[in-house]
Parts: sequence; structure tokens; C-alpha cells
Amino acid sequence: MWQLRAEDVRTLALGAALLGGGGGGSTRAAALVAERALRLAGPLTVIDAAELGADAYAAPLGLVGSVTVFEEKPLSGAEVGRAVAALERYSGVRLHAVLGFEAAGVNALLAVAAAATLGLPLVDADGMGRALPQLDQTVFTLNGLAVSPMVAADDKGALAVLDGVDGLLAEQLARSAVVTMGGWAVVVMAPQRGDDLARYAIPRTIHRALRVGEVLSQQDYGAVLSSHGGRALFRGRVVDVERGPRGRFGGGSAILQHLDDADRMLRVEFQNENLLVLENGEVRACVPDIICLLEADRCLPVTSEDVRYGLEVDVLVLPCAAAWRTPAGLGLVGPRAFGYDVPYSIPRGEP
Amino acid sequence: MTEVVDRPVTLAELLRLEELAGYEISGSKDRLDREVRDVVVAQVGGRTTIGRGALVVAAYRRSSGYEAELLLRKADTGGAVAVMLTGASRLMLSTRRLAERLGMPLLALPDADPVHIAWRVSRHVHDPERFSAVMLPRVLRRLRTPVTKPDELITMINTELGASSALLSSDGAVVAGERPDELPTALFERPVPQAIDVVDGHLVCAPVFVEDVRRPELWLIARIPSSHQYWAEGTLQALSAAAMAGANWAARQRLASERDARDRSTLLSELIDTGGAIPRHLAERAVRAGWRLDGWHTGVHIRVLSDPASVVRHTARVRRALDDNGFSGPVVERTDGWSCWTTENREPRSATYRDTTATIRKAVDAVSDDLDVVAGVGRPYTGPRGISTTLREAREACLFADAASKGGRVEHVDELGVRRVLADWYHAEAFRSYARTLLAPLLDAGDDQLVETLRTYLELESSTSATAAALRIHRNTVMHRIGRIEQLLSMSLSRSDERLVLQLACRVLRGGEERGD
Repeated sequence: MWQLRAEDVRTLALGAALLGGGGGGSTRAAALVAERALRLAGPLTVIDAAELGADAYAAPLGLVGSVTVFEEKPLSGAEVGRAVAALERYSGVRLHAVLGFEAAGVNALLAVAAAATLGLPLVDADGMGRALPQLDQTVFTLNGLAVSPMVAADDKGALAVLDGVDGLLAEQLARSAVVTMGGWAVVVMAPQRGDDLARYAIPRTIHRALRVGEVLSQQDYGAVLSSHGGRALFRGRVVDVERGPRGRFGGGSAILQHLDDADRMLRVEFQNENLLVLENGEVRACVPDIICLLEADRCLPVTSEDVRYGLEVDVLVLPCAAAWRTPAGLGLVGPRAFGYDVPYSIPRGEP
Repeated sequence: MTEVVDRPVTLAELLRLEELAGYEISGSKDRLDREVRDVVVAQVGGRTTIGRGALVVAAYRRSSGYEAELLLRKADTGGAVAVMLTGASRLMLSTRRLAERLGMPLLALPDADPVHIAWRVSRHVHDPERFSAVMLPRVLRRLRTPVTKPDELITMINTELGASSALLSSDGAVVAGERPDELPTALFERPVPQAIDVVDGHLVCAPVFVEDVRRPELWLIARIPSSHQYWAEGTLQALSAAAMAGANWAARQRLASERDARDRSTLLSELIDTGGAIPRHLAERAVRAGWRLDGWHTGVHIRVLSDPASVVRHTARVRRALDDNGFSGPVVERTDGWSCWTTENREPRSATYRDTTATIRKAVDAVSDDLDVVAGVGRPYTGPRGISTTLREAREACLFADAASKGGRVEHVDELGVRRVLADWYHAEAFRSYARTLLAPLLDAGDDQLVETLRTYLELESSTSATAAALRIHRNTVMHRIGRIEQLLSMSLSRSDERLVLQLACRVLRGGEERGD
């Protein structure tokens, strides 16, 4: 158990953005929301899943939809409260804590803001361990835990309860509700038992984001690699970007030319997140490992939307959660799940 | 073309196929000489084995352009010769760079189906003999419309056969296109289609027969890059078909010019034959032909000494020579040569006669390389009748023109003076038969030189040294021949009467021979 203070939010945001691996959205607006919630509510209690108690319940929550829309049309502040109340009423379960289903990008910060607003502790764990585009790409679905009933709430007071569906169908139903609700909604998944979370959820991801943020704010990505594992792939300038239809959400390709060796070219394929890296026609890295682009001079994470011609970046690869490296995990979030017809591989000797 | 064993086709050869028209190439452009042994359709994740010498064909989807890079790598590992992407519109920089780095030609064919392309190309790869059948249909398709200009033919050959071609006359002059750098001189001696190996390619040559079935009048010559033997063979076939179209064009041109020549000749004959006023229909035809009947006409007659049958073929040449030297007017074919005249508004002064003669002399010299001609110039006469009068004078003057005469190959009727008085003599049949009888001993002696020596000797005022110089023989030889002539004829050249009659006889005999009597 530890305390998260309002002063820690900016550091957390920096780490969460890097762990978004190009996705997860811009953390700017969400960081302001979380910071304000913590200033109002005081330091937030963050507990490990094991500290929750086997019979206690915590619900995974977060934002679903477009972060761009979210930045222009912010939270009213009441969404989380209404959604959690509706979920408790519908399921008859009282929540002891909440957690983020995605402890990266915007959603790491929204989980903090939600816990602070609700006055509940935040469980230091999540369902993805990185940013992923779909609601069914969680360890809950991977391990057969029900995520419905699920409640979606928008800023105007609308509430949608989805029940009886899990997996991809739940994702698709929620997604269509989100479109109707105006681009984004706060989604609270079915309450999970403490022992399930202790066993299956990806642990200490909020803590990791905070540590990564701390190291990164020293403008030293090498320290990130030494403390959290991972490898630096390439330092190059973006020389070509193409965007177009890719998978369900659209995406593109970026070509990087090495800063020291102009003959070397790196190709980054992205959808929301960076998913595949090729050099010389060979796979250098792929999803579910976290592929991050960092602005070369300022050491700031670059989202895939911000990749543009002329940008100089470092490409880092951070290891994903162990659960994703199993055959079932790769089936859910491996390169083929995103339409890349390559096997998941880790170059020899790399973490 | 000496190679008989089939070798595999090269990438460069395949790229000339119609099926691959519109391809774009990136990556390694200097590796096109690689031999292609197989064509495979590949998918990135598929199990297709890419073998040594394979041309890899794959569908490019823009949304998964990275696949092209994985494929390039796979192709390189397998030893493929090239990767062809169908449907590729824009390849990203890294893809192109990778192809360059691997030395792998990367072909993009925007509108094509991979399986169809692979099938079409594969047929050529596994059966190179098919190459020989590729070009003929292309050329025949283009020849559905008749060729109206030789340039059209050359352009068509260049585009359809990927060649640089030329239409040459049988002496090597360019009719259309660009003359190839290295043209074997022996080529024109064998009038059969042939493909000759030259540096970095082949010269494919097809004879064009227009009139003579043994001697081609034109040659179609196409230079193609180094090619498979069957490709050269197919080019040869296609070029032979084009040669037929060329022959067709040449024959049509010739027909048209002969028809025009006949029309002109008929019109002139009618003008000359019509006494008195010119009938209206004749005047109209003259106007249509662009002839002015009024004004002052100066006639020129040009006579062919060698082959009168070739008159029509050489009209253009003669007209050009006259034009080039500033004598422009109608040129009309006659049985023995051409009648030409100029028309001016005012009567030319007699001082200009000399200029006209000089002009015609230059024109005659200009064509003298391949035409043995002499010319005569008439005095200016006015009106429609003037045309026939000046042309008649020109024809008379022409009779006196030859290489040995004072005026050279061109005579002006005004300068003939007393010789014209003699012209009547020459035309008299009675004197002509007398002349033949008189000179019979010399003719029968079987030595042509005797008559020639006698004639020259008399023309040059009985000077043995001048005669020796004109005939390029020794003076003693002249004296010896004159002695022999006197002996054979039983006449003495010291007597003026006998000298006169012999000189006249020589002239008549010569004029008669020239007219082909």
C-alpha cells in the first residue's frame, strides 16, 4: 500500500504515455483531470491486488473511444459515479476498490481520477499492461473472467448496461454504444474478485508507470532500459509517412532513416499503437511487446498520431507482460490479431 | 544467331513482353540480365518455396506494404532473380531501398492480376520458342491501316519491336529513320532476311522488293538489344511483314507518280499538237497542272543517253536538280527525256541566254553521277504556241549536245548558228544512207576506234596533236590510224571536198546512232 499524491500525476502521465507504445492517446487533458481530483480528495491509497482481500470486489474501468474527442469535450465529472452506482445496483455487488483495465496512456490517469472521485482505493494492477485498442484484449478475457455486466456512461447522463455477452461481442456492443454517445464513454467492467485479480491481473502497473516517468523525466531512456528491461532499436529521422486503412481503426507506416548510417531504414507499422518494426525485411520487434517512439532531443513519448516527416526519434522496445507471451495470449494480442502475417518473435538474447 | 542450344530467357527479355507493358522498376536496375528459370506466385505467410532463378510475383496491398519487404528478404534468401508486385501504386522508401540493398530488381505492375501475369510470363519462361510468336501479331495489328509515309512505318516498328530502325535504299542512303552505326557492307549482297550479331545487340534486316523480285530496292533494318535467339527470330518475321507493307507503300508511290507523269506528257503533247487557238478544255487542264500559257517561255529539253525507260523514275531527281539551280517550272516526261520550261512576264534579253545555259549545265552536272544526259535550250517565245516552238528549238539544240561538243553537254539553239543549217542535212534519209555506205569500209573493219578517230580528227580541224589529246592516245597512233582510214576508204583527207563529205557523214551517223535508229 502506498500513497499517490497530486504532485506525482505529471510523472505518472509521462510514464503512462511511454507505456502506451504510440497509443493510449494524449495524456495532457487526463493528467489535468487526475491532478485536480487528487487535489480535491487528497493523496490516493494504492494497494496491491493481494491486499484487497479474496472476497472483496474491484471493478476495472476506463475511457473507451476517441481521446481526441475527449480532449475537446471533457468529462462532466459525474460519469464514473453514475456508472459505478448503476453497476452496483445491477449486479448487487458493493465495490471495495477500482482499477484501470488499461494502465497506460489516458486510462492510467482516468483510473486515478476515478478512484479519487469515488473515494475508493486504486488497485495497482490492470488488464493489459500496455495500451491495446479493444476491450476484449485483456487478461480477464484471456483467463475466462466475465467482464459483463458492463456499464457505459457518457457526459450527458446516458447509461448503457451490457450483459450476457463477453469477449469480442461485448467489445463490439460497447463500441457501438460509444459511437452513439458521442465519441467516448466511461466504461466500468463487471466487478472482479480480489483473489482473481491477485492471480490474473497484471500487477504493479501504476507503480511501473510512475517509476518509468521518473526515470524519463531525467531525459535518460537508457535508465528505463536498465531498470525495466527492453532494448533500444534505432535512432532515426522520419523520412516517409503513409496513413490509410489498417485493421479496425486505421493506421499507417512510418519509415525512419538512421541518423548515423543513411543506408539503414526502419519501418514502423502502427494502428493506434506501434505494432510491428521491420529492418531489411526482417522483423525487429512486434506486438505485444511495447514499441515506443521517443523524441530524440527531449525524450518525450510520441504518439502514432504525432509521427510526422522530419521528426527525429529513438525507437525503444519494452517487454510485455508474461501472460501475453503464451500461445493463447498471442492469439488475442499477437501480430496476427492485428492482421500482420508474421509470427511473434523475440530476437535472440533480448528480454 | 549461331547459338542453337536454348538458353533460359533473361529478365530484360521478359520485360519486353506486351503482358508486362507499363511496368515500373525500382531496386537494382542493372541486374536485368539474370536468367529466369521459373515463375512463382508468392504470399508472405504462404508456404511457397522460392527457388533459385525464380521470378516472384505477388499481389501488393497498400494496407500491408510491409509484406513486400518480408517478401524481398525471402526472395533474396531463396535466390530469386526479381520480385514483381501487382497493384502497387506507391512503394515506400524503405521498400525501394531494401530492393537496392539486396540487389533485387523490384517491378511494379499497377493494373494486373498476379496469377494471370505469372501464368502468361511462365509460358515464355518454360518455352522460349514462344518468343518468336510474340511480335508478328503486334505488327500485323498495326498494319491494318495502310502505311502512308515511311516515317509511320519506322515509328511503328520502333514502338512495337522495341527497336531503333531505318528504311535504307539499296545503296545505303537513309529514306526514313536513323542509320545504324555499324552496317556490314556485305548485307546488301544477299537479298534475304537476316539477323546479324553486333556489339550489344542484333541488326535485323528485311529486304523490300518493289519491282525486281531478285534485287531489293529498299532494306528495313532494325537494331534490337541483345536478345534470345527466338526473340531475334520473331523480330525478323515481324520485320519481314513490315517490309511487305513498305513494298506496298513504294509501289503505290510509283504508281501515283507514273500516273501523274502520263497525265503531264499527254497534256504537253496535246498542247504541241494543237495548231491555232488553244481549246478551252486544254487551257483548263493546263491551269490545273499549274502551267502558265501566256508570258514568255524558255524551253529546255533534256535527253537521256543511257536508258530511256528510266525516265519516270528519275523525274523527281531532275526536277530537284533544276530547282536547286534556280530553274523552276514544269518538268514533263517525254519518250527520250524531259521537256521543261520557265515562263516570265517580259521577254528575256538575249544577254540572259548565256545564264540560262549555265544554269542548265549545272543542273545536268548535278545529276550526271547516275544519269547520262545532255540538254538543249531554246529561245524565248510568247503565248501558248510559244511553248511548243521553244521546246522544238530546245530539242534541236539537244541533238548537237554531247560531251565532246563545244558547248559541252548543254547547247543553246542561238549559239548553234551554222550548225542548224546542217541539221536539215542530218535529218535527210537519203544522205543518211549515203553516209552509211561511204563509211561502210571503216565500220566493216570491225574497229570502232577508226570512225571515232576520223570524226574527232575532222572536228578538231585536222590537228593530229589535238586529236591525240582528246582521245588520250599518242600522236603517232593518230597519224597511223588516219593513214589506215585513207587507205580503207580510198580517199584523201588532204582534199577539202572529201574532207567535208566525210565530216558530214560522221556527224549524221553519230546522230542516227544516238536516236536509236
